[in-house]
Amino acid sequence: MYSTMLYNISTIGYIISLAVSGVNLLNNKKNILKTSIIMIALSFLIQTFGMLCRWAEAGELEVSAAEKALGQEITGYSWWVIFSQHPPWSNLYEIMIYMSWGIVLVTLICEIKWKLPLLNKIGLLLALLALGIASLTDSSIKPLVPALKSWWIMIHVISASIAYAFGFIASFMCFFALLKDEKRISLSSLVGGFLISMAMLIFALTGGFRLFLEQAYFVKLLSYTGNALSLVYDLANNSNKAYLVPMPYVSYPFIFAIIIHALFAVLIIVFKEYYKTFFILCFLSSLLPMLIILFNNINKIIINITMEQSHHLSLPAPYYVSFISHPWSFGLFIFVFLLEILFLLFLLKKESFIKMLPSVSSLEEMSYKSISFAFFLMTIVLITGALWAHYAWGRYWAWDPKETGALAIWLIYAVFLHTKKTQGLSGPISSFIGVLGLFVIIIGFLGVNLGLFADGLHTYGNS
Amino acid sequence: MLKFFRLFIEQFWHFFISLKLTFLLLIIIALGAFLGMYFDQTLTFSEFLNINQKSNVYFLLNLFDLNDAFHSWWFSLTVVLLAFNLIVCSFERLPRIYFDAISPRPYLTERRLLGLSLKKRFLCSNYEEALNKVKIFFGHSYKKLDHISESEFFYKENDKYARFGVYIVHIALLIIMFSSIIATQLGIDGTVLIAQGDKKRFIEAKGIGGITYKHDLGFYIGCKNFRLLTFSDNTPMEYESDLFISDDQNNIIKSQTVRVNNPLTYNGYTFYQSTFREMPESNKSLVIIVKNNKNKIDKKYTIKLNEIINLDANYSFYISEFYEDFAGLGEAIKINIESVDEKTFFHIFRRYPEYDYKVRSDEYNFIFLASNNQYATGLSIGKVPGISFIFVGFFVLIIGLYLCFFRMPIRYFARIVKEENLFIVDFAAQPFRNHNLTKKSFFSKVSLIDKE
Repeated sequence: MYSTMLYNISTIGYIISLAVSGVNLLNNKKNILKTSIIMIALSFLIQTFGMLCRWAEAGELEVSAAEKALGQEITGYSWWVIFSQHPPWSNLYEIMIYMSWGIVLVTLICEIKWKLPLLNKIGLLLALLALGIASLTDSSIKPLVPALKSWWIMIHVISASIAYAFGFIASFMCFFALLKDEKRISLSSLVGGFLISMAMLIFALTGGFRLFLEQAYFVKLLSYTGNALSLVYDLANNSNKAYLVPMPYVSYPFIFAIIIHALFAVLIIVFKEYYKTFFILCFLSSLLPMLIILFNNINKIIINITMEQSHHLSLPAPYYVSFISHPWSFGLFIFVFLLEILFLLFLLKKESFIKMLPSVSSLEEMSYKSISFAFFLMTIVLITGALWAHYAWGRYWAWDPKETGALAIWLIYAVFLHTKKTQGLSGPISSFIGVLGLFVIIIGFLGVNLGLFADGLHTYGNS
Repeated sequence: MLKFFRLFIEQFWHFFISLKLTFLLLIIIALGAFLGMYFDQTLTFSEFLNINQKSNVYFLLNLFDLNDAFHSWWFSLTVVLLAFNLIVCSFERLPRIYFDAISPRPYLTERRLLGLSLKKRFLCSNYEEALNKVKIFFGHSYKKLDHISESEFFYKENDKYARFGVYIVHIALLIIMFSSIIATQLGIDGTVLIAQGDKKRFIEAKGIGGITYKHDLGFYIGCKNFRLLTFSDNTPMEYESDLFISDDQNNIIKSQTVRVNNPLTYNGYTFYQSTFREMPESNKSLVIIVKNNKNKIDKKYTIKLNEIINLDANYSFYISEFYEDFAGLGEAIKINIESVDEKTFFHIFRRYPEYDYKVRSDEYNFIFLASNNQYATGLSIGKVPGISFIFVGFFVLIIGLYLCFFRMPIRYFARIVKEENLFIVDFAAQPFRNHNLTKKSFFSKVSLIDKE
C-alpha cells in the first residue's frame, strides 16, 4: 500500500516542520519560519499524492470485488465508473486523514494571506491530532456501501471538511482576539471562561450525567468479567470481536477534575489575582486522569468480548477512554489536554505571546472572513446534503443527528455574522461566539461518532 | 394605564424588530437542535411512551414533545417568530437602502467629504492635469455630473445590487422555511415492506409527534422480484427490486427497477429502496430435482416447506425441514415420502448431490439443488409537496450568499474645485462592507495617481 507509506512520510514531515517552527518561536528568525512553511507545503503535497494513491487502490479493490460478485470482467466506461466511485473519504480513517489535509490546506492559505504567527503551529497540532486518531482506527479498504455510491459524496464531503477546517482555525483567531483585547476583556474572566468550557468538555466526553449516576455499574461489570474472564476469552474466539479496556480508578479523578475546574472558575470571580495558581491547579487535576489512562493502557487488561456481549456490557463513558477500544474519546481528551497546555504556556509567557499577535481589529477581520467563508461552505454542505438525501432517501431533511449538528454549526455562524452587525454585540461577544463555534463543530461533527447521540443515517463514518 | 400600555407595546415592538431578538432566537434554535440530537428522534410515539413512561421527568419530556422535538410547539413557535422577526426587520431597514440604491446622491459635497473616511486630496496647477488624475483614478467607466458653480463632479458605483444580497438570503430562507412547514404538514413519510410477488395499498406512515397511522395510497405498489448481489464476505454490494404500480383492476400502470440512489416516482409519491429483509424460513423456496428411475426423466421442482407434491397416483412427498448446517455437512433438507407400502423420511445434502442415489434405491431419487431465500423489499415512501420551492430557495440562497460574501459594493466620488490659481482634486470612497479590502483598493488607485 503506497498510500499508507506516503501518509507516514507526510506525518513525519509535519512533525519535523512543527519542530522547526517551534525553533522559530524561540529565536524569531524569518528564514527558519520560511523553511518550516516550505516543509509543511511539501508534506502537504506528499499527503495529497497519498490520497490519490488511496483513491486508485480503493478503485482497484472495488473493481476486483465487483468482478468477483458479478462473475465477469468489467471494461470500458463502467470500469471507470466503478474505479472512481470510492473517494478517499468514505470511512472514519479516511475522514480523519482528509480532515488533517483540510486543516493543513487552510493553515497554508491563512499563512500566505495573513502571516499570522502561532497559527501554523496550532494548525499542525490539530492536523497531527487528526492523524493520530486516524492511526488508531482501522485503515483497511472495504468496498463502499450502496448508499454512498453517489457523485454527491464528492462535493458534500469536500466542502464539509474545508468548512470545518476554516471554522477550527477561525475559532483560534477569535480566541487570539480575546487574548489580545486586554482593554475590554480582563485576563481573569478569560481564564474563568476557559475553565468552565474545559469542565463542560470533560463532562461531555466522560459521559455526562452517567459519570455521576452510574458509578455502581462498573463495579457490577468488574464482578461479571472478573469471575468469568476466562469464559469471555473463550467466547471471543470467533471473528466478531470487540475490545474493551476497563479503566479502573479513572472515574473519580475525572469527577475531581470537573469539580476543580468548575470550582476555580467560580472562585476566580472573587480572587482575581490568583488566576495563574488556579489554572495550574486545574491543569494538574486534568493531568491526573491522563496519567492514569496512559498507565492503564500500558498495563492493559484487554477483555475480548463478542459483539453480542458488548451490548450487555456497554460501559459508562469514563471507563472506555482508551486509545485501543475508543480512540475517539481518547482523541478528544487529548484535544482538551492540548488546549490546557497551550493556555498554560500562554499564561507563563504572556507578554511575549501578546506582542506576537497582530492588532485586535485585524484579528477580528481575519476571523470574520474565515467564518464568512466557512458559513458559505456550510450552506453548500447543507444544500448538497439535502439534495442528495432527497434523491437517495426521499427526505430532503430528516433531522438526523449529523444533519442537525451541521445545522447547529451553520446557526452558530449565522449568530456570529449577526453579532458583527449589531451594536453592542460586536467585539468580545462575537469573538466569544466564534470560539463557541469550535465546540459546536466538535459536538456536531464528532458527537455521533462519540456516541453522545442516537445513531442516525450517517453511521458509515463509524467503521 | 393606557400610556403604560402604549409604552409597553412600543418597547415590545422595538425589541421585536431588533437584531437582538434574532440573536436570541437563533441561539434557542441551536440549543433545540442539540436537544433533538440528544433524544432519539426516530422513535414513534408509542415506543417513546413505552421507554419513558416510568421516568420521573416523563411529564417534561412529553410537554416538550422530545420524541419529535423538531415538530414540537416550542420549536415551531421559535421558527415562526424568527420568520416574523426576519420579515419585520427587513421592512424596517429595506426602504432606506432601496431608495439610497436607486437614487444615490452622487455629488461629493463638503459635508459628505467630512463624513467619509477614505479620502485623498491633490493640488494641480492646471485643469488638464486635474482631469487626467480623475481619469486615472476611475479608469474607463465613470459618470460626469453637471456643474455646480465652479466645481465639477464625477461618480462611479460598483456592485450596486450586491447591497441587496442580505435580503436575497433572507428571502431564500423564508421560502425554505415556509415551504418546509407546508411540506411537513401535507407530506407523507412512510415505510412499507413488500414480499416478493406481493403488493400493498396501505403503508405505515409516521406523522407529527411520531404518531403512526396507516395511509391509503389509492393504488397498489407491488414487488415483482428482488435481487441481492453480495460481495464474497456476504456484505451487500447492490440490491434492487422490480416494482410495479397497479390499480384496483390489476392493470399494471407503471413498472420500474429501483436501486439505492435510484427511486421510482408516481403520482407525487416517491418510492426509495431503503432496506430488505429475509423472510422467515416458511417462505424459503427450495429447488430439487426428482429423478424418475423407471423412465429416466428428471424433473425440477421449486417448492416451499410442507408443500405436498404428488409424483404419481400413489407416491407423494414434502419437505418438512430445512437445516442451515446439518452436523457440519452444510445445507440439508428432510424429505418425507408417502407411498402405498411405506411412509418414511430421510435427509439429503446440497453439497453431495449423489448421496441419495447411492444410499437409497427407490422408484424416485432426490437431488437438493439450491435454496432460494425469499426476500421482502423495504421501501421508504415520501411525498413532499412543494419540494421544488425548497430547491428554488436553495438556489436563491446560493446567489444571495455569493452577493454577500464575494461582491464588494462601493461608491467612488471625485470633484474638481477651482480656487484662485489652483485646482483642488478630491477623491473619496464610500464602502458598504468589507472596509479593509475597500481601503486597500482605494489606496491602490490613489497610488496609481502618485506614480504619474
